[in-house]
Amino acid sequence: MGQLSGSGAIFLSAGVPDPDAKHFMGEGDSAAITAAVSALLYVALGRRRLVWGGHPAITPMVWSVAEAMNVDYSGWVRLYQTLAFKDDFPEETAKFQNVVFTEAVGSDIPLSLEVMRKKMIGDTSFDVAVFIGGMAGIMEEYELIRASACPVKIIPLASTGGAALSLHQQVQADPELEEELDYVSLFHKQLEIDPNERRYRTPSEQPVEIADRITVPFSRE
Amino acid sequence: MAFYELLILGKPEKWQMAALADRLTEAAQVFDLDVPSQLAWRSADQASHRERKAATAAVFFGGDLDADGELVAELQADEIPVIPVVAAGTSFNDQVPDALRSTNGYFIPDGDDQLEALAAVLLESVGLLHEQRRVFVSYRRTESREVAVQLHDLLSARNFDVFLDTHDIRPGKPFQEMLWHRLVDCDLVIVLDTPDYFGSKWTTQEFGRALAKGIHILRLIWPGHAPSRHLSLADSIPLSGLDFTPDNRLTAASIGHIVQRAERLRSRSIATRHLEIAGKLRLEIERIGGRFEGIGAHRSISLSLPSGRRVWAYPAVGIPTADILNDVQSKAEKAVTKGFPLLIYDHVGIRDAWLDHLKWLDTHISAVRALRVMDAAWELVAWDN
Repeated sequence: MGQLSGSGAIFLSAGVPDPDAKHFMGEGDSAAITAAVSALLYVALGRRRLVWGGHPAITPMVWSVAEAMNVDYSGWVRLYQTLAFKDDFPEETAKFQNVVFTEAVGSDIPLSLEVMRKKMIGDTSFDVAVFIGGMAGIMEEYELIRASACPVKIIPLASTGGAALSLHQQVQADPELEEELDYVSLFHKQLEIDPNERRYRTPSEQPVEIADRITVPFSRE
Repeated sequence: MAFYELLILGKPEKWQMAALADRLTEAAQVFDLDVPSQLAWRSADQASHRERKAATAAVFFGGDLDADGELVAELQADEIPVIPVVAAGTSFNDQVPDALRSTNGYFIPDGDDQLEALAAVLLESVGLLHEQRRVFVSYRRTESREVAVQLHDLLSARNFDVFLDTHDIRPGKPFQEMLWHRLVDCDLVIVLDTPDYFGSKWTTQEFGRALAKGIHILRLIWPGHAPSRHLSLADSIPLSGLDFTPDNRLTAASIGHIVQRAERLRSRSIATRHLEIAGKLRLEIERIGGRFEGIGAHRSISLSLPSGRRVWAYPAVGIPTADILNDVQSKAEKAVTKGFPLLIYDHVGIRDAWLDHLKWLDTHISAVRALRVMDAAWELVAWDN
C-alpha cells in the first residue's frame, strides 16, 4: 500500500462490546477503547475529515475535543445515523449540520443499519479505516470498506479487544497495533500524520499539499 | 492479572527487598488487595510476567551499572516510571546507569531500615496512596439511594475516598464547577444507571466532556432497564433481580464483584491517563529536537531542551490548581537533580474560566510554569531561546 494522500477521510468504527448482545465477538477493554478514541481525535481533528456512524457515546466526546482545539466540528466531522434510532439521538445533534440521516427499514434494525452503513461507506473516499473494540458491526463495515473501489488502509486496534482483535488476526495487521499502548504516537505513525502538521479551523482553510501544512516550532539559530 | 504492578530492579540488598516487601504487604492489607493477583511486585527476572496494561512503576536500586539494561530501556519506551534509588551520601552518577541518570531519583536516608518513604514513592506512582484513591458515585436519590450508600461504605472500608453525587441537577443547567473538578480528579466514576437517571442527572454533553478528559465509567445497569446508548463506552455490569436483597441493597456476592471491577477499571484508568499525557509530551519535545529522558519519582518527566537545559515536567491528569503548583514546587525543591519544574496539563474538558485563572496563576508564580501539553513544543522552544 502506498503513502496516504492526506486528502482522504478517516473512517472510524468503535464501540464497547456487550457480552449479552448477539453480535458479541469477544471481551473488549473499555479503558483502552476510550483512550484510543480520545487519542485518535487528538491526532486527527483539524487535520483529516472523520466519518462514523454517530455512536451516541462518542459524539459528545468529539464536541468537547473539537471545542478545546478550536476546530470546527461540523466541518471536520460527518455522522451517519439511521432513523431507526431517532429516539436515541443526543438532543444537540440537530444543532450541527453534519448528520446524514438514512431511512429506517420498517422496524428492522439490522436492515436499517445495513442501509446506513452502505451509504456511509459509499459516499466518501477514505484513506484509512480505524477499528476500535466493537462487535460484529465492525466486521460488516470492514467488508463494505474492502469492497469499495479505493484502496483503504485498515487499522484494527487489537489492544482494545472485541471485534478489532479478531479483525487484526484475520487481516494479519501490524503487530504494533497489539503491542503499542501509547495511542497518540501510534496514530501519528499509522495515520502518517506528521506531528508538525498544523490543525486548521475548517477543511477549506487547509492547503492541498501536506508540505504546505507543516510548521516546525522555530529552533535556535 | 494484577491490577497494580511494581517492579524491583537493579541491585537491592537482601534486607532492602525484605523491607520493601513488608511495606507493600501492609499497603495491600490497607486497601484490601490480594497479593499477587491484584497487587504484584516482581524482581527483574520475573518482570516478563507482568500485566502490561496495569498501572505499573519500577524502582532501580543502584550499585551495578550493567544491571537490567534491556528491561529499563523497555520500560522507558513504554513510558513507565523507573525510579533510581541510592543510599544517601553516595554518588548518584557512580551508582546509576546512564539511562537513568537524568531521571528523578530517591536517596535512602542514613539509618532507614524500614523503607517506608521509598514504598510511598513507589505506591504513589501507581495511585496507591490513600489521598489518591478517589471515586465518584453518581446516582439518582429516589431510585438507588440504598445501593449508593452501600457502595460508599464498602469502598471506604477499602480506603477509597468516595464522593456521593447527591445533587440532582436539572437538564440544561450547567454542571456545577466544583462538582466537575471533583469528578475530574477521580480516576473512576460509578454510575447507577436506573430508569430515570438521564431524566434528572447529567446530560450527554457532560458525559462527553468526562470521557474526553479520560475519565472511565463503571456503569451498573438496573434490572429491566434498557441501558442508555449514551453511556455505551462505559464498562457495564448488568444487574438482575437476584443481585438484590429484599431491602433494595445488593447481595454480598454482587457487591464484592462490583468492587473488584471498580478496582480493575481504576488501575486501567491510572495507566491510560498517565500514558496519554506522557505520550503527548514526548511528541512535543521531539518536535523541537529535545529529548524525553524518562519518568522518575512523583511521575516527573525529565526533558532535555535543545540547548541542553533540563526541565522537569510534572503531569496533572485532573484539573490543575494552585495547590498542585505548590506541590510541584516543593517536590522539585527536594529532587535529587535540580531543574526547572513545569506543570503539564491537558486542557481538553477544562472550562475557559478555569483556563484563564491558570494563565493568571502562571504569570504570578515564577517558581513553576504551567503548560498545556498541546502547546508545549512552541512554549518550550521559545523559552529555551
